[in-house]
Amino acid sequence: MTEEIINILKDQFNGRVSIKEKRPGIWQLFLPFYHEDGDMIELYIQWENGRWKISDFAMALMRLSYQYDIDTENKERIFQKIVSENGLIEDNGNIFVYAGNDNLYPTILQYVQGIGKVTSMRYFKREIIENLFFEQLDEFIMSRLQEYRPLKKIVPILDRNDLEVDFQLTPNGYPVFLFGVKDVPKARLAAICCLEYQRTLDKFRSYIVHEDFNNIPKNDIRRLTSACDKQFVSLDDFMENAVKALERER
Amino acid sequence: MIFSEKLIHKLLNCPKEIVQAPGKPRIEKGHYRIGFELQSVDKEYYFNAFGRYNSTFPENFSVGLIYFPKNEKGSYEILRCNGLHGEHKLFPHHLSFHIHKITIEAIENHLKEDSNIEFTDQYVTFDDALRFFVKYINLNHDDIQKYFPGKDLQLNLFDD
Repeated sequence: MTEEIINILKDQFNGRVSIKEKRPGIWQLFLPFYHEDGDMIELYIQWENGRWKISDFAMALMRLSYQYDIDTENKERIFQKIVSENGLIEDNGNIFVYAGNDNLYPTILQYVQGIGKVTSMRYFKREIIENLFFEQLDEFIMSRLQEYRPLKKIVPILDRNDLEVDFQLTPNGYPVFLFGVKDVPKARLAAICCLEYQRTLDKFRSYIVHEDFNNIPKNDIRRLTSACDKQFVSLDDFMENAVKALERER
Repeated sequence: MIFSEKLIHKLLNCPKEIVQAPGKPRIEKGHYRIGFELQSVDKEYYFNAFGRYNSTFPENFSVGLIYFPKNEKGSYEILRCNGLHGEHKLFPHHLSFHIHKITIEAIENHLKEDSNIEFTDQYVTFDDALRFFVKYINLNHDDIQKYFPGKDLQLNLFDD
């Protein structure tokens, strides 16, 4: 059996493969596919019910768990979507796929691609996703709110460059100043800006879009609520309700 | 985050203490796992440590240290002791126990911080690796005695 599979794989991989029996009936394949840290992607193959079973014996999820756990329904949903959309199957952490002699090569490539996507879920770490907040906000405003003539990085009070607002929208004759807030320093700066605008400018509205309203301490929320006209508790909330809110400003 | 050789040396070797004890080991999705939190004794640096081994192939294990900078978001995997899981890109056709370590070179070349490895003969089992690891990172003696006293952690994990 070993010789048979070696010959099949050597032929299909043009000689760039080695294989070692890991346990009776389970062979580890050594192919030039690597994780970002240089470790080889773990691939095992066994003959099962007249076909080849290619699996990782849960090594991909073990590796992912060093810094990222699939510990919420949403993460599990994304994980299962990656697995199924790449034509793979998962059972108690083991990710596998079946192949015949004739399609081992393409199936292994498909398998490795799927494993790579699973281990890339580490890029979904909160601190990385958070960094996308402003990009996503920017993209939404500049693509979906064009009707309200969006401008970026506006200084509403002359000579006060320290009181810059992220966006200005103009649904009617007066501006709507919009701040994206994802942390406490930005929440405080937005509150200070809004208060100063009130002291200096005649007519305007101020909007806050929170990355996560619940992440801002109570006292800061109180200050913001007092200083600004409207808050959106999340980017999703803003994306869903921005147009309605801006239409009411007309 | 700007790393220097001096900082890396300090992160790896500064005296450390456990602030969140390793919980009861558990099996999850095909692997056994433990984890604990540490800080440097001078409270300047914070870390997570993890231990994993595969439930089918216990020789496929990892014990690692993750550094969390105090004043910025994000984390860095600065050390990982690996078992015999497979080859490494730097040394194809060679199976060996090895240690991943953060390097300035990897960071400067925008590679994963721990993509450099060195071979080791300091351990052959998960237990050995864990004991090697806690000494290597300079965990204080009392914590070693308190949390990692036995010799058969892997067997105990299986018993659980």
